[in-house]
Amino acid sequence: MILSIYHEIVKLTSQKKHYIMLLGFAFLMVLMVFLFRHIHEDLEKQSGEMVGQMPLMLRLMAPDPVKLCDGLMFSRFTGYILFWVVMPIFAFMFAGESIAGEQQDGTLKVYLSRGFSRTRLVIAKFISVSLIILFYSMVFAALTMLIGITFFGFSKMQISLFWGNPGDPSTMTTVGLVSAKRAIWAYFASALYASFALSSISSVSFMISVFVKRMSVAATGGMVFFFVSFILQIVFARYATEIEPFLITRVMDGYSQVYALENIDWSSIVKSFAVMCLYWSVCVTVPVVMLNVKEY
Amino acid sequence: MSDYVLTVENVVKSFGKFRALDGASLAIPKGCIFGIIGPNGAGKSTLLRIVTSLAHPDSGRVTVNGIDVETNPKKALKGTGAIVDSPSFFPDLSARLNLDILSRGTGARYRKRRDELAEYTGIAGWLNHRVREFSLGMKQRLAITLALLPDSEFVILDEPTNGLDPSGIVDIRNLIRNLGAELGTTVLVTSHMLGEIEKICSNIAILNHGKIAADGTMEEILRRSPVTLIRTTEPDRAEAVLKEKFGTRILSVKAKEDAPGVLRVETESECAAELNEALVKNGFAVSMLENEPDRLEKLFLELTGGESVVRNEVRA
Repeated sequence: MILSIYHEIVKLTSQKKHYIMLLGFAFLMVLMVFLFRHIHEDLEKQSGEMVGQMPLMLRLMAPDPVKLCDGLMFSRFTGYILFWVVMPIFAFMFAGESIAGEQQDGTLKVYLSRGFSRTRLVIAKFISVSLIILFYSMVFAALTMLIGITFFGFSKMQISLFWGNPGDPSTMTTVGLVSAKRAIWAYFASALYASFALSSISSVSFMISVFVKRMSVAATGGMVFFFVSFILQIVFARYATEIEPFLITRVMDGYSQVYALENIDWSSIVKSFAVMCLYWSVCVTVPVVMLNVKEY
Repeated sequence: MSDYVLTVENVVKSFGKFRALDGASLAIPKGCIFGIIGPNGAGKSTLLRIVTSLAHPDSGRVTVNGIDVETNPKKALKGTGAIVDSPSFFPDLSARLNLDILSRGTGARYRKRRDELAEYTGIAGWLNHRVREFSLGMKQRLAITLALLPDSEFVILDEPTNGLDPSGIVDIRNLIRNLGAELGTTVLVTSHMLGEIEKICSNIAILNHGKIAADGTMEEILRRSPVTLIRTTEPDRAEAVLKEKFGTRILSVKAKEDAPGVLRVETESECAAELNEALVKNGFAVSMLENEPDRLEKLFLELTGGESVVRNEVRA
């Protein structure tokens, strides 16, 4: 199995879409630095006014709010866009490539004609996609923090944010202060959590990829599923209570929890992991069955 | 242990109402180069896909080295290397990595065999190049190397000379011939090029409408109705003499339409020398006597009802 996973990783990492990923990430960084610089300037202009509006505790602990808007804050802020929008697209691309891409170029047929275990092949493919997502999640998280600190410096105190879910009235957005060390831990823990969530999100494309012969179709199918789930969860959650707990976007709920590292609602985390396991098991079992019975 | 590497017994395979294989049966002896020839749509690729477990038969049985491919594909295909359809590789990976990944070979012994086979097939200097840079002929060589790895004793090649230029066809043909002679590998080749099959294979099967119309060694197949072409004086009288002398041993004698003065004599068995002797003794001057070329083509056309095939003209 280890040899199979290694081969799958070699195959995936040889593709040119990695350059697209790196370019996409670089473009996001440029945009975010530009945006954050403007936020920084605005904060400097409104500093006195803002301090007056801050809660008393926060005012005592952090008399200069501009300093709170540092590189670590930049990376935590950017992380949301990175893991909610950019990384899912990359994850769909890799998962879609895994089986459909090989059907498209004929290499899957070469492999299958040799009588190798198809079950092992599917599992190795999925594990390799998950490992690549994990690798890029952690590397991009580290690079984002490095870029943030380079451009916006580093503060010993950090704002602790817990983003409430707009579709869930029981969650509220709360603000507090934590040490930088704790914030760094929270940041990387949330990146790790996001990589798990992305792995289960990408499994939808992985499952579709066994039915189609084009990687683009599998990737697009996964994206459509993800964004429809997103709209359902955000806009129509109250009208779709039966299916809402099983939406693929639910797995990202835990990201906010881990992001704050405070007052973690463990039952929510467990629910998110349960949904992840549901998608993992269904979206890997179906390709295993299909690859074993389908004719090529 | 079976004497046959591959046995196909009454295999039936349908796609909707179309019956691609209709009770096809054949057996491939160890160590031979076996060619399957048939017109487009005869069922060649379907048969190979079933043999390599890429497709499942509706009924019938396929065994490789005595092991059922349908019930135990992993074990049955362990020593089998197959390239079905055109050779496909990962274009951005080196030839070496392609071989390692697609054959799942590891270890020092494997690496030694891989390098030796690459030397043998003429791609040793290209192992570190990306497959994207390979010509079709190089890809075919790489495909044959892959089919032989890690320890294949039975190699299946689907239309291996397809799309190659004349020198490439000769190279691949020689390579396949040598596989059997030098490495002792059993090779199954499919083609719609009669000339290629005739030059490469020791045994052939003619597949038509999903059925094996004829199979056996090349000699057996061609011996079915030997035809001798004779250019002589007075062909009409010579025809009467031959009919009288040989009786039922001659199946037919007729003047060759496109060659005036030439008789086309179809006999039960090979007897060109006797025909010559009889004519000379009866005072005929024989200026040409030869076995009819393209006998395989003629036999093929007879068996398949004249469906299209390609007569390949590349000479070794």
